[in-house]
Amino acid sequence: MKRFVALFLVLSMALLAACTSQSGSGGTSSQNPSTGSQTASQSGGSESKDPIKIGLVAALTGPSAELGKGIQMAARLAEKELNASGGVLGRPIQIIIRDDQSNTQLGLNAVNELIQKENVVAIIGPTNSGVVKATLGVTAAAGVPHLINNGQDTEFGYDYPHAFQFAMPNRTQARMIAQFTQETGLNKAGLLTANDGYGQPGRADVLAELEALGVQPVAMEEFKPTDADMTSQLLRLKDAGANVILFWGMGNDAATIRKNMATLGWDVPLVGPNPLVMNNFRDLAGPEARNTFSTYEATFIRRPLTPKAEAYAKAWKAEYPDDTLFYGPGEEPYFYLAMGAQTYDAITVLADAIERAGTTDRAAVLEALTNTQGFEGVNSVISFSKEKRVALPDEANILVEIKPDGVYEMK
Amino acid sequence: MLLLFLILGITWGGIYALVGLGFNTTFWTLRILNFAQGEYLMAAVLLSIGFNRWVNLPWPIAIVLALAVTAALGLVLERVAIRPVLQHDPRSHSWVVTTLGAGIVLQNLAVLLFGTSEYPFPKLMEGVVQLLDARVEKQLLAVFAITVVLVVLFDIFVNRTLMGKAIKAVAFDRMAAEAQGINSRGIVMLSMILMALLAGIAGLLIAPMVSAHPYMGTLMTVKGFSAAVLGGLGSPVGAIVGGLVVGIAEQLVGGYINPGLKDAIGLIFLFVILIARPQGLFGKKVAERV
Amino acid sequence: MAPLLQLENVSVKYGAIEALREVSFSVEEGSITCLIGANGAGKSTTVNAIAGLVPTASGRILFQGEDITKLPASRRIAMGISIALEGRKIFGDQTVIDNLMLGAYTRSKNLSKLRREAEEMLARFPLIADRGQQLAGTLSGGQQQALAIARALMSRPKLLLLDEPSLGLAPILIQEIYQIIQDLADQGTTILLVEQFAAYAFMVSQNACVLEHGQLTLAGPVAEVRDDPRLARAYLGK
Repeated sequence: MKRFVALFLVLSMALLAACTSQSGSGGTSSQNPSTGSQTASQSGGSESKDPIKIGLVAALTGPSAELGKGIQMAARLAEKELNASGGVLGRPIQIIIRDDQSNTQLGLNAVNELIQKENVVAIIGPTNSGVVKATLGVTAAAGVPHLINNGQDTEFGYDYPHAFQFAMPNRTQARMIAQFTQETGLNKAGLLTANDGYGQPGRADVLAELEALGVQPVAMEEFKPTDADMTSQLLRLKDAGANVILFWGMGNDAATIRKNMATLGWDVPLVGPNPLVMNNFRDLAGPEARNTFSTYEATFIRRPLTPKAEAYAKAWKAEYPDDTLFYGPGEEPYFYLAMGAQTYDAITVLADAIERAGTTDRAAVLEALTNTQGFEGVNSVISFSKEKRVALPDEANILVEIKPDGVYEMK
Repeated sequence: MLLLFLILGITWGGIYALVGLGFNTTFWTLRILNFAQGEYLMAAVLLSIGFNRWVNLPWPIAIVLALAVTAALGLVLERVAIRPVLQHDPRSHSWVVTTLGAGIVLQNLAVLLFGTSEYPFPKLMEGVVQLLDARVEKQLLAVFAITVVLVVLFDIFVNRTLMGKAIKAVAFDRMAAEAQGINSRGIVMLSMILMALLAGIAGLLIAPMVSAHPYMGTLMTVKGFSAAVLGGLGSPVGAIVGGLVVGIAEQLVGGYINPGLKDAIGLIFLFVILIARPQGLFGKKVAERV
Repeated sequence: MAPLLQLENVSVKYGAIEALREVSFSVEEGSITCLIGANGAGKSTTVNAIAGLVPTASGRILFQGEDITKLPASRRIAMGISIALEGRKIFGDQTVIDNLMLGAYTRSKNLSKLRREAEEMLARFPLIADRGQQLAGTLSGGQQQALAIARALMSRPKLLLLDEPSLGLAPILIQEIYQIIQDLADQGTTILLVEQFAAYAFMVSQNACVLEHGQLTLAGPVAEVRDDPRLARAYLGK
């Protein structure tokens, strides 16, 4: 008896250990070798031909590796193009990339190192919202402009005077998700959200937007990310009479939900934020990747492409002819390219600001960035102000329908 | 609603029962509990996916091959994690640590080979059927049917073949079994293979409904263990009843009370049974004779 | 004619302890030989070594003239050596019939054939004849001993090793068990009988071996051994 209790305790502890090790796991960091001169020149006022250093922190390995690699590719493309056209202030641009493996501590280390040791003009990244949140204080204290290429938290573009958001803010997405109930007339909304740092703020945003529309959800359920089975939550939503599921979480969990819905023979639309467009949702859900809707940048979905988007797609194809993840397969640019274009836009806006500031002094660059007006990026025409530093205007986003074979603009 | 909960509960309960039966096989022959069980479930699934994706084998062959490798891994576990411990001291309980450790090694190997992402797994059959007022996927019924067939086969093997009786004999008294000419070493090997296959097949059955990833097995170890202890360690009927009780209770609690409590049900049962009736529902009073 | 079983300088060690030291004796076909001695003299070790359940450290064991020293227990059973272990060691959680069928494990795996044979065997043992479907663990001591002997016979042995068949039994039951042993001998089964109570053993045996502290101190026809003063010493100690 006592022995079994002991066994059980050991087992539970091991289980806990296994669960926590999930988040911290991953390979060794594969840092990009930082080339170039070792002399840390002052970021401001240097008249030399030394490169202008920009720090990029991305999840090159770990759970968000797919995205991180695309970010790295986009950054290299921007760097190459800028340098081919003479650099900035007559100096070459050097983007120093660090891998944080989606890990907060590694992200903090990387940001500190880039600022202190590499003396970068600005920080771009990190990839995951949680890591961004942790690093914003560091960049603020150092007075380093912080360009958030992928983090979606709504406050990023409003609450931090040194931060600029290039991804679609949660609140914008939540508004579109809530509006789905109006556009389709399916207004018996059941909420199904992850109980983690991504799902909880998302749920709050969706609730606020539903309230603005006067819609009261019929039921609200939460799930643990990577739950193997969400049939209980689904049955509760179904029982409450939900005719649409408003979802907030990652693609793998949405795939489990669609598969569980198939198990239950229940088929209502599932609407959620843009992680749903990523490949893993369609991979995992297979034929069940249907009747699912998400928000996304219109850039590479709407035809015809804008000249800027067309040029970017061509450049990408030329630089990465073998890429099938962001571009191909085939001759048409893949909608996923917009995800990388966020990083590309961040770098080109930054280069433009440095040029306008006429110096690499961080404060001057920050001032120039804040005054950006009508800059033509790939995903949108970008304007910042003291009140709002969000690159993507609402109209840059559309609702898309996800089907097993791809992503289409919602009719 | 209730009918659906019962259908889901019985199906998942059957899966827990398979894992629970795996716990029994090694408990019979070695008096140990293999806490790496869930990782064998995971291994069979990921190996199938690996053979299919990277060696381009068709699914049936990939699955058979994966089960064979999983069974071989079962033998390796006995050799590296159990035999040395019991040889050193037959009364030792160090196998708790060594089997858990072996499980963590397996899990990390899986992460190295497959990363932390999830993988899809094909369904046996598509489509939906109507059962009274419940609609369920055919796949679910197929899983249930296969589980029933496996449990029946297991029962036939243990109770209606001389080999099965020999396993029980080794469990009861190893020396007496040897005296009948039963190769207890071989029977132990057989029990490890059975354990691995039961876990592996359980994994293959649930893989299409959930997603396959290196961490999919850990929770199944807990639930299978709960099923086995609830029913009474060493009792096959107990493992089946224990599995069904846990499976159905999960669905009812998840459906009527709170889905967040679902995974805790197995542990709660485990606590209650350990306090109220340590030998389990169907266990003998003197279950532990070490 | 060569003896059915022959031990040549057999030693057995349990770790550093020498349980059996250079023991040599033989068992003639068709006879009952008893192995007697005080508790801990090495009697069980000897028969277990013959059955292949404990390894020998040195020496040779010959069966029908063939060296079986290194053969596993299963091979020895197949050759015709069977043992009824000390303390019965029946499989208590299985039925009497199942126990019997397991006794024939090396001979056949055909359950229906074995079941028939087990029922035939059962009929030869009045003590348990009507207990076929009962769980063996619920049998009385005498019934369990009868089952242990019957199970050992299922492999159709040429040599039957019986380890302490009277242990823990009431005198009336001991008589019944010894009647069974006598009947088996009459039917031509060679028996090596381990017995702590020499008096019982002498009733049925032709030859006797006396073990003392792991060494063979006395061997010969029962008539001689019975009257040897060394016999008493073997039991009383030095």
